[in-house]
Amino acid sequence: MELNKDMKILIVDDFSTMRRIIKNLLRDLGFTNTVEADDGLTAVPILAAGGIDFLVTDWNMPGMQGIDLLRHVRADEKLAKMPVLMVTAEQKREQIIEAAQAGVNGYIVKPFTAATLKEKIDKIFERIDA
Amino acid sequence: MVTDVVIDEAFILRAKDLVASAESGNDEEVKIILDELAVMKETSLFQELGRLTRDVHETFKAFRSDSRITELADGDMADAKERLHYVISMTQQAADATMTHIEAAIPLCENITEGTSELLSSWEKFTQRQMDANEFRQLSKTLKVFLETANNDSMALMSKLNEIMMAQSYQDITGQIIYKVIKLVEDVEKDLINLIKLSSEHIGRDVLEPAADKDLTEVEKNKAKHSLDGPVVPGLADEVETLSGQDEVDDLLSSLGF
Repeated sequence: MELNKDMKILIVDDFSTMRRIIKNLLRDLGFTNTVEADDGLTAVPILAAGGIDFLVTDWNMPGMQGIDLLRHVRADEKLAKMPVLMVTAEQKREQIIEAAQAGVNGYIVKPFTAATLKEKIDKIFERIDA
Repeated sequence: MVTDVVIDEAFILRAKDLVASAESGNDEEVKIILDELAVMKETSLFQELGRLTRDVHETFKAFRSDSRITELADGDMADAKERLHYVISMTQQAADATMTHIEAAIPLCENITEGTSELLSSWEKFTQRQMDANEFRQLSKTLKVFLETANNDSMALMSKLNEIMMAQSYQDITGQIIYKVIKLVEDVEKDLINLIKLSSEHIGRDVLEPAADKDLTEVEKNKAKHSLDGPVVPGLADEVETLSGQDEVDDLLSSLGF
């Protein structure tokens, strides 16, 4: 199945530079329908409003951390099935296990390349379609 | 100032005796009482001096025995220096990478500009019908070569621009590291305030020490809570196991069934 390039993607990161980088990389991959939030707390109402198909989030943010946002998504009936990709500088073993247990679909460590982002997104949607 | 009050009362009593003796004209008694009062005054002075000495001693002891201070000086400060050095090296790398890609992009732009200027003047000649068949064939060849080169150059340019964009990701990582150092500076500030409180408590002879201890453990607790968050800084001895990049993360995740 062809990846739906019109899907709406929410990018959550407290650093605007990183949000712009991810947004530009996604645009290069053909995904132009993106929205942004600067931490978990601002992401929650955007998710609640509906229409988001894919969540890309950082881990370490003020307010609400990415891991808590992930748990929030998994605990919400309406959002629970949404694919979540973490893009973060956190690379401690127990944190990756924690993210896996919380139900993350993909995990990218910063700094990353455009190729890594493409590979992980392809993998996430291959699994979902399979 | 408990001792002072007792001495003051005894002092007043004796002073009243002194007045009574003086009024009754008992010179001998007056002399004795005057001497006694002088001794009492000296005793109170020495006691106060002794108390101050003890307070100063206690305060220094508290400074020495506060392990948090040693920890800050030996561990956290060294860590902070390491972190800031890492920030310098990351920003340096990003600036170098950006400059390298810009230097590679400039000739590509120059090629395109040069090619378009040349073609523009030929095209001008053509539209004004000042070009013979031979020249036109030449123009047609030049145009083909230019279009091929420009196509390659603009793709290469796009890739350089992407590299420049990716190089900016340093801002996120260094920002997180600097936030951590700011947090440490705040902790140090709190600890120093606690120490000042502690020393003034000794001098003021108050019993607020448990409160100061509570603040310290609060700082410890915060430190423990935040120690996991943030980017890994190479060269810093972390107490938790960290993975060295995307490949190791992928391996771990696939071992977990991903």
